[in-house]
Amino acid sequence: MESDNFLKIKSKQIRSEIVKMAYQAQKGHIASSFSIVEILIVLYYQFLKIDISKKEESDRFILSKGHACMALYAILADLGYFPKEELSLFCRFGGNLGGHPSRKVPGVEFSSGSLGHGSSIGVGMALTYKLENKQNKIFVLVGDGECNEGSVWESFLAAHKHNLTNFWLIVDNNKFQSYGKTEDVSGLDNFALKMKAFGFETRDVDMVNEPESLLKVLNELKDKPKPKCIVANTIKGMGTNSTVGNLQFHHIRSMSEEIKNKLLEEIENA
Amino acid sequence: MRSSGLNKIFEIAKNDTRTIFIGSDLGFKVLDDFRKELPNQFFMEGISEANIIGMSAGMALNGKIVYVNTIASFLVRRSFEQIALNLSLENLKVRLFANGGGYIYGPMGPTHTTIEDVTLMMALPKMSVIIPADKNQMLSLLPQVHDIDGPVYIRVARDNYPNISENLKTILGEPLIMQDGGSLTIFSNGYFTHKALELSEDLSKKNIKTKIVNLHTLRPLNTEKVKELVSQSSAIITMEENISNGGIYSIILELCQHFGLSRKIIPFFLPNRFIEEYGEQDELLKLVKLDRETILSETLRNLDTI
Repeated sequence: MESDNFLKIKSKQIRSEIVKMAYQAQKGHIASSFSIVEILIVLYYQFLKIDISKKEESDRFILSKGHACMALYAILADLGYFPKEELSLFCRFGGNLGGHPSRKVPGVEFSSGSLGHGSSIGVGMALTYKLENKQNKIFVLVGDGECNEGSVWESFLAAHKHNLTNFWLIVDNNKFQSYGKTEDVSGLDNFALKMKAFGFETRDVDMVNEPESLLKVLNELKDKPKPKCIVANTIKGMGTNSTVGNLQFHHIRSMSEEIKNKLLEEIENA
Repeated sequence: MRSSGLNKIFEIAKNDTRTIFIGSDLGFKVLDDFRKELPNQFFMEGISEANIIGMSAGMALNGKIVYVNTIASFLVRRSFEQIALNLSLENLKVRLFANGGGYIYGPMGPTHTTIEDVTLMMALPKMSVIIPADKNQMLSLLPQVHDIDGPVYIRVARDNYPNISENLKTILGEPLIMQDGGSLTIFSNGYFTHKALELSEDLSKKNIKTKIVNLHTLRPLNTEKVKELVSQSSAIITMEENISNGGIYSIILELCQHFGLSRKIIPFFLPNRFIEEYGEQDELLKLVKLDRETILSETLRNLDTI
């Protein structure tokens, strides 16, 4: 229960940071950032063993759906990777935090932004760790829309071929992409079934009603002798009534003070 | 140059455990000894160039030096974005060992020939580009590029070209003067250095002496040295198996413009069109008027107008 409460409080804090960043920048992929908030909190605060001072022993996380970077920035700042003040320069000239994440940002493993790259990078990293008998784990977060890209599936074949038990794929299955519902644009049907067929130890997690169960599933999968996949069933924009499933918030180009305050209030009351 | 280059990579891999080789479903039994002897450094992946480039980047991020090998046209076209973003942007030690290039796979058609690989690779920041003229030059350059920063594109060509660089010292980034002579300078690389030697021989029969400079490395390049060579020339001939952009002709033109050097340039490059006819490298070069006789007559015609 303590963990549930932590997740609730922390997710409100991170979503509020996202809204403030987007308001200051007058841009940003709010809805895509919202849907990964709980996933990142569980990973960064409760599961990953990340220590940038000891990279040799550290787990690695790759945000392949780079457009959701506001959530990652807010968390990295909260964890002290860089000063929180930098968040206010999101997308701005002179700032370090772009609309898509760069490896120059402390804590960001790989520059992403074009979709369909991160899982191949993760497979390469996981393979080297396997060759060297190291225990480091690789986590790659992809979006469901991102899985329209063929390269993603190529990387799944490779993860299976090399039996990369240290490779963890987390799918932010938020059901929407830029134009519309994923099922309308390029349907994935039963994602977990596909991943099982690709040789992954796969679990579905209900991130809307039971986000705390993600940690349980992560622990449950830890020792399974296969590459792992967690289909995190989220909803794009989840966290406020105004943004949930609302494609106007996929990427905003302006935000009034009124909207900002409304979103902050909705986050608080969620 | 392919099999000798691959064997060289095997040799490098034996001495440097950071070395990884990744092939994309290459021919049956290719590098069997490599696979057997160094199983942790040899990978034969599926027909999935985009994923392979990403994987190689992931491995390079973890300290490996990765050689990726497949046919040039597939490597460059299929995975251009991965090459740009995963390798060039991140400045990683991945070496693209690209079989063929130009018209080498001419009998196989336009899917296998490539007129634009050098152009595309030169357009990418931090990408080193080497185009050896023969086996010896390939074997000499491979160890030199092995541990340099950033990605490298290696256009591989054929093993059976005559050995023309054996007694010369090929140094990465340095123009190689293969033959000193008159003030007419021929700059070339790859297979076209063989053409340059032919042209030089044909011109000498007409009492025209030439200097032959081999630009095996397009990046990094000692441009000061190239500038000096251009300055010493009365006229210049450029010869390359690539379209006009991004290669030798481009480099010399830009250099002349930049330093205010006015020199007559006679360029030989591939036309910007797909080759939908079939044939061996020389047959296709003849088709696009880059055969020995036409190159000579074009050169003489242009020299007359100086």
